[in-house]
Amino acid sequence: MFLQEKNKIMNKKVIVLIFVVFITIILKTTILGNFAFKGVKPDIVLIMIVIFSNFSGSFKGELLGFFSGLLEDLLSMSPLGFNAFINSIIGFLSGITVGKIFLNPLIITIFLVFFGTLFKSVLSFFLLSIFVSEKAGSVYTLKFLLEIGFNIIITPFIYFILRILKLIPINIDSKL
Amino acid sequence: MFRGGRNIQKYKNSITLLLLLCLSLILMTVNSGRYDISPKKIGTSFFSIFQISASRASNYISDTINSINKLEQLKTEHDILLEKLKIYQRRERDFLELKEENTRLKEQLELTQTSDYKFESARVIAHEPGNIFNSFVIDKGSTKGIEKNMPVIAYQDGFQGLVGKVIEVSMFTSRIIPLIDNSGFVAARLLDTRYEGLVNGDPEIQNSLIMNYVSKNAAKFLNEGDLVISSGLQSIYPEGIYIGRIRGIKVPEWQTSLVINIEPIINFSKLEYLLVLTGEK
Repeated sequence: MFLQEKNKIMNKKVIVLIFVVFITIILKTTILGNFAFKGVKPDIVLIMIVIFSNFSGSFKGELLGFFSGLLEDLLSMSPLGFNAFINSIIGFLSGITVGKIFLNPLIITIFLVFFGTLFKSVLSFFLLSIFVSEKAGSVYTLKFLLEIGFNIIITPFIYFILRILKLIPINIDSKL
Repeated sequence: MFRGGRNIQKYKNSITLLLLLCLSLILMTVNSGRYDISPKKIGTSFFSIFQISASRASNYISDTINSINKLEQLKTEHDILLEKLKIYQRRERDFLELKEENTRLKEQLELTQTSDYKFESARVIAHEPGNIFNSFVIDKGSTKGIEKNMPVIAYQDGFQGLVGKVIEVSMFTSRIIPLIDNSGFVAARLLDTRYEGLVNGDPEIQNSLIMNYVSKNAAKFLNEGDLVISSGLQSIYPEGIYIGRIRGIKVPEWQTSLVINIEPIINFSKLEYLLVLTGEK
């Protein structure tokens, strides 16, 4: 019974998080687009995937990554499946660290966001080279460096917002 | 059976990931245009409703806040404008005289009237969520007669400038790829000297254009600030629409043509309203 209730709570949190990610993507394309710096926007969705996966594991992380990426693809010029592919892998890899690294979760998250952004650029380059070759060269520009910096700066804010919304646990040792 | 079940449980994450990645690759392959199925179009049509709603809500809130501030400004401007009106009434009389003279001179040169186009006005409601691709979404779609590859223009600072073209159409929205994106090309011409070339987005400088294949002979006739227009040659874009001004000219020794940097006429960061050309009148 206890396990069933715990599973129900976990599933509710996943559904709530998918809804939060959906709202974030809609806002990202409309209102938040006005807050770009030098034409660069932070990848809030990637940060949310990394944070959530770091607490709840690879399975939920890759599912969240896939569906959020698919939604981003529907609302952008990228080929359908492009962001779904990348975010699935990032969700999977971020979830691998669950229960293995015992540091301040915020510091781990910042490191994961940094490496996640780097990995996203590598994957983007390879996928674009195959499917949209004329865009492959636009991955590694100044925008890429600004995006890394931007992502790292806003990671703590997203982290604490998710904690306030109780979508991630407050205790270090807790898992979803 | 029991051992098999345990193995599946052990590798659940990896199997799920593989399935999701395969699905993503299939979607990308289908979406690349080799097949006539467009799940993206269906999904875009559905989710674009939320984009329109969010955009309208945010526009309503910002318009309301701005209108309160504007009331005070309007009273002051009203008084200033009354004075200006008197000046402009005098100027209008002069303008009408010049216009009539212009019409008479054109008739003498037997110039035909420039063809007008049918257009659909639209507003930008959403931008690209990421930083790699360059596009924006407008609030008109197939229900308003918008079709793929229709050219898009806008008026800014007194100029009718080329914005880009329609690349995706859903029922209520359309996606526009701007001229500053490096994946599209426009057949262009220098307004004064009539040299032709191809313009596309500069991959190195943001919000900038680059014109290639202009003959090296043109170098001595070109100056910074010269206007570039669309040539209309074998192009979806009509002739004579402003593209930009020359910002810099490079004469590479290893190439047979010039490389011209162009500042777009349209400031894409300020772009809000535009016109989609739907056909000739």
